Amino acid sequence: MLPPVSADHVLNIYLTLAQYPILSTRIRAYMRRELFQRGIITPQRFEAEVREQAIRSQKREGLFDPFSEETSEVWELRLMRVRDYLTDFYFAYNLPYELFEEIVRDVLHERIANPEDMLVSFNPELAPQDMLFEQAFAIEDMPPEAREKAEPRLQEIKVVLIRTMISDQLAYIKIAKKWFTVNDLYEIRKRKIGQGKIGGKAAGMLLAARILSEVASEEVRSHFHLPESYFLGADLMYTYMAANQLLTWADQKYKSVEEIRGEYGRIKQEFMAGDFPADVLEKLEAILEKVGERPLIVRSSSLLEDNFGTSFAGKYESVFCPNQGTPEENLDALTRAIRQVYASSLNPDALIYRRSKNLQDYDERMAILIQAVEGEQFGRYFLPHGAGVAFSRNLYRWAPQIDRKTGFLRLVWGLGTRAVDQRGSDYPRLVALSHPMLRPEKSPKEIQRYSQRYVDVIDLEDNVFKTLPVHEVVSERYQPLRYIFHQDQGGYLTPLRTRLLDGDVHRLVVTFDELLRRTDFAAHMREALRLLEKHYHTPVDTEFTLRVRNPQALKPDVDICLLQCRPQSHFQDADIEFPEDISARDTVFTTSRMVPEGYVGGIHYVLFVPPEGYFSLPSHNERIHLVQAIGRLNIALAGKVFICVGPGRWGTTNPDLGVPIKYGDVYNTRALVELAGKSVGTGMPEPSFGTHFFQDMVEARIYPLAIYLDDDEVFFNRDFFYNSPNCLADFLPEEAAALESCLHLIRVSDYRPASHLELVMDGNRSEAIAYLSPD
Amino acid sequence: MSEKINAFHMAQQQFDHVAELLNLDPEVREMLRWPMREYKFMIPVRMDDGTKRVFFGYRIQHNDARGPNKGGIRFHPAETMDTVRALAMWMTWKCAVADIPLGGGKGGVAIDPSTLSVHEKEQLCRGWVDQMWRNIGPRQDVPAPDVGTTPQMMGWMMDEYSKLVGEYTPGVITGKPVGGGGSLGRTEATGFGVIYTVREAMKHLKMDSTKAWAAIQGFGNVAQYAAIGFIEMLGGKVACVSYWDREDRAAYTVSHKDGIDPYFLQSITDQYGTIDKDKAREAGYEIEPGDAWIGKDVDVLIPAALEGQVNAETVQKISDRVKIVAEGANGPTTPEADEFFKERGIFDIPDFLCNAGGVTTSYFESVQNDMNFYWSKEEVLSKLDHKMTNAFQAVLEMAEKEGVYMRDAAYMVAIGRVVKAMELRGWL
Repeated sequence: MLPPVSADHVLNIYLTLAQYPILSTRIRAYMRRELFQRGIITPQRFEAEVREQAIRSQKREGLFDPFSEETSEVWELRLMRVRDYLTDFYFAYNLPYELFEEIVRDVLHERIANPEDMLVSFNPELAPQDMLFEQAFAIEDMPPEAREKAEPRLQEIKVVLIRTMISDQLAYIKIAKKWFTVNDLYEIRKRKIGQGKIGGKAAGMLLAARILSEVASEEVRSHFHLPESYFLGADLMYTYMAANQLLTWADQKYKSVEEIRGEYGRIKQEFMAGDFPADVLEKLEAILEKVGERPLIVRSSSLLEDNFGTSFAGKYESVFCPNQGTPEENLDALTRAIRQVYASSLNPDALIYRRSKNLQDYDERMAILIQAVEGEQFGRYFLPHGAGVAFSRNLYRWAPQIDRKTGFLRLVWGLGTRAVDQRGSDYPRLVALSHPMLRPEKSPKEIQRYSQRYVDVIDLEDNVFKTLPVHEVVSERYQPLRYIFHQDQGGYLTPLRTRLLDGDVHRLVVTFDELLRRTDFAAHMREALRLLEKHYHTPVDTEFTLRVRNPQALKPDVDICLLQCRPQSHFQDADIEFPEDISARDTVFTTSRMVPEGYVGGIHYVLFVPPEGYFSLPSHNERIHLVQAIGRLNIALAGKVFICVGPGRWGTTNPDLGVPIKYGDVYNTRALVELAGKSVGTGMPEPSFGTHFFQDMVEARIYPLAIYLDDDEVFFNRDFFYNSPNCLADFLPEEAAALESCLHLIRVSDYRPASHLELVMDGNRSEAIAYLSPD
Repeated sequence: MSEKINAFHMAQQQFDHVAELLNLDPEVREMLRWPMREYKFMIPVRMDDGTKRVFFGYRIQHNDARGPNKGGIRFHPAETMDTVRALAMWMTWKCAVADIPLGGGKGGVAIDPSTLSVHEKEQLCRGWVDQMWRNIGPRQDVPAPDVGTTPQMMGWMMDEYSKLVGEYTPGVITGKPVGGGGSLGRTEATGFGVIYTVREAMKHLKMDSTKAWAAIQGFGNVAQYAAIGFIEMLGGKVACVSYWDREDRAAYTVSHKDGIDPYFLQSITDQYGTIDKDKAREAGYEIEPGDAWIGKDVDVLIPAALEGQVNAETVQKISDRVKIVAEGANGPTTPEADEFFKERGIFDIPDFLCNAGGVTTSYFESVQNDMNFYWSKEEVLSKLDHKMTNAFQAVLEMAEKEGVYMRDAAYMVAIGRVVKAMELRGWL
């Protein structure tokens, strides 16, 4: 049935198409469409023949079982090549060469007469991305009716693009497909180097920004932006490993903990010694050129990171590149940073965490997010006006009016690294977004004590990331000074009305009060977090930087740069149902006052200070002695899970109000439970109990609780507290006898063998319960 | 100041400039750019011819964060709300830079007092108080004499006020005659104050004052005592003074090659400030054109006459020897001249610091009124010296620390103090 062979035509077509290695796919698609439309061959016949020829080719190549001997990927490749060949063949023998030339011309000039023409059948899952984009754009450009018909197709294409470019997490795709436009995806692609996905961190950041740009009010939207970002696809890490003989480490995650730990040093060394392919280096150079002299941050963006269902915060590295050297030095620093992040994917913490969360078998790959660091130069330093972590739910309610459902911030001056990590001796500003001006501290002295002392900056002169005392960096010439600092006037804090400081910079205290009071920053943040939570269908946490756009204005605008967004990790850790049917026999205490949100499991010890014993201590000295003993007990109990229960306000400075411990005395405990009521000899628990070291507790994740014994609904198991044996002697053998009356250490298994306590705190219901549970 | 330029607009610009230097909180800036209270009221006066004539009076209280408003009352035909506003704002800075616990105010009536009889003037003064008495007082706002008003008028005003409140209240007005609640040393205060600041500036610049020469513009109250002070306190010589000759309707510079004798010149000056040229010549003085003073080969220039005298044109004549310009007058230096000083490294003592001796003594007057105990002249002048010296040093320190021009430094000190008071009072 075929016309006589004209080898010239086939060859001509073949040679012509060889000149268009990329467009040839599309040209051939048009050629097939011509063949089908003109009735030369039906699509079904054509595909059948493709298959037939493919199987024949397998035999030629020495394969006999088409299914078991060849992977589906290779089979698809085989089909594609045969399909191309047959297309050329049929076209050459049936249609004029001029028509072929016309198709080539049309494709080259992108003259597509009818967008519907584009809907030539192909499988989006297998098609090249160029074609997917082209078709998706074509569909978006269609008139409404046509577009409606093509909508499922568009969805399909988008999902394929999201899955191949961003993330294959189903929960993510489900939300992302609703929000991303084809153009968004196209923009991502333009900024991506290498194959593979861009990873979780990048995915979260982009999705959050997209959601806000769609649903937030113009007012809020105009204050949010994304940092300038570039992506290294996740597959690039494998390419790097393959090129540098590092694939031997790919099975690291299945090794023993000892091996994982022991070999990490060598892994790092080998990763740092590798080389990047020349084309990647060229693209990195291009990025550096575009970014200029701005500092960069190279952030991990692994496939698991920041995604739905896993909290991977801080497991992988992020590396700052100050970017102040010669182009060669900068490129060298950038590639070193990338190597470092790659190596961190095999760091023991991450691997062990994955093992514990059943994520071991996932093919975790490391994509990289390269971002221009948000901030500005001040003297020799580069830093943002503020940065922090924002949570859409507030887990730290230190005053009753604070609304849990409204967000919460940890805010610092300078780079956000200080806000992300909890650092015992340095404090971010905690902001309850429902009441931004409210602070856990009461006196100016406390505010000063619980303020930020150190600031993370990039030192442009030394070309390094640094942590410096706040006072070494700040000066009265810092433009947004008054929005970030207050001035200590000896006993009270005042805002900075002029840049004339009374005294020197040592009187400056980071408070962010004026920023919160005088700008819409808190309101914008509140609104953004609410919207993100609503559309993520779960509480979220985000990282951000801020910039006071016009510090001289009567009411300055605050630009917020969104660095990442993910489901709120604390909630996942503490996702515990409140137990409904605990019998009185199993209950140790309940309370319904000022309950935080949280959970402490596996409590094996209870440090109990009996109110009678405490208040009958004859002198101040003996109370101090008790506090010192508690401090020693705290150290002795390191590694064991225990809570403290005692009269009045823990941590008060006045021993008549409660046990005057300091944070340093109890940092190992998981909860501080304050007993109050007439029988204890104290009044109502103050709603802000323990606030003077509230921040310490927040930083150390110690839960504060209060039991007001006069409340009717309160349950307090006296038997447990008063009749359990005191095992103090096991830990403080020399002091136990002297402290017998005022310090009980209850080993839960002494009260009921093979049992421990569970403490569940439900902030929403404002109820907490501690109950006995079998080990 | 040209009539076309709006004085208040200029005062705001000057303030904005310093606000910028200070990185002043924009919230505070809004509050300080405008007066806190403004009064405009009608004063009907029964004239000598039996007719009733309506005058308009003003009082502007710019800011009283640091204490009761303080500032003169001007009787001047070109008075407008805006000129009074500008001067009221200026008083706030002046009191603050002198570090006296008073705010800024100014008042006036648009009238040429020379067109009124004594009786009519008294009616106008009492009428002014009748309208304003509830809003002035020793703890609210303390007026003083100014252009077109005299100590005698202040006496009437104080009397009217005392009658209305029902008790003798000398502290409601300062600038009263000595014996009627006025302070000794008032006459010398401004001129001597100028010299105290010159003395401090010379110390700072390590100049030997006994070898120094000064040229003074004017021979009014300020210039006379500046000349006396320069010679007697500093041991220097004054090359010349200048004056406005009423008969010739021209200004002259009166100089002497060995230095002028201010007491002698006082003795040949009439009540309008005109020096008897013939007697001067007889005594070996040279009479030169009015602008000759500025070109003298001296170390210190003291413009103590009118505003705008040191300008782009006249600075060209300034001798290379000049190290200090002490602004005894209000606003003698134009912005162009400031630029010239900065270029040449001439040390400028800005007007509202340099001539703050007057308002400081007004403050001393009200202090004495409150105590009902009066100091000797020596005591007043020694306290004045103390105040002026401290004020000068604070401004100098600011100029050195911030690396700014003295005028800017003075404003910075002043505004900084006012803002601090506002802060402490919880206004911000």
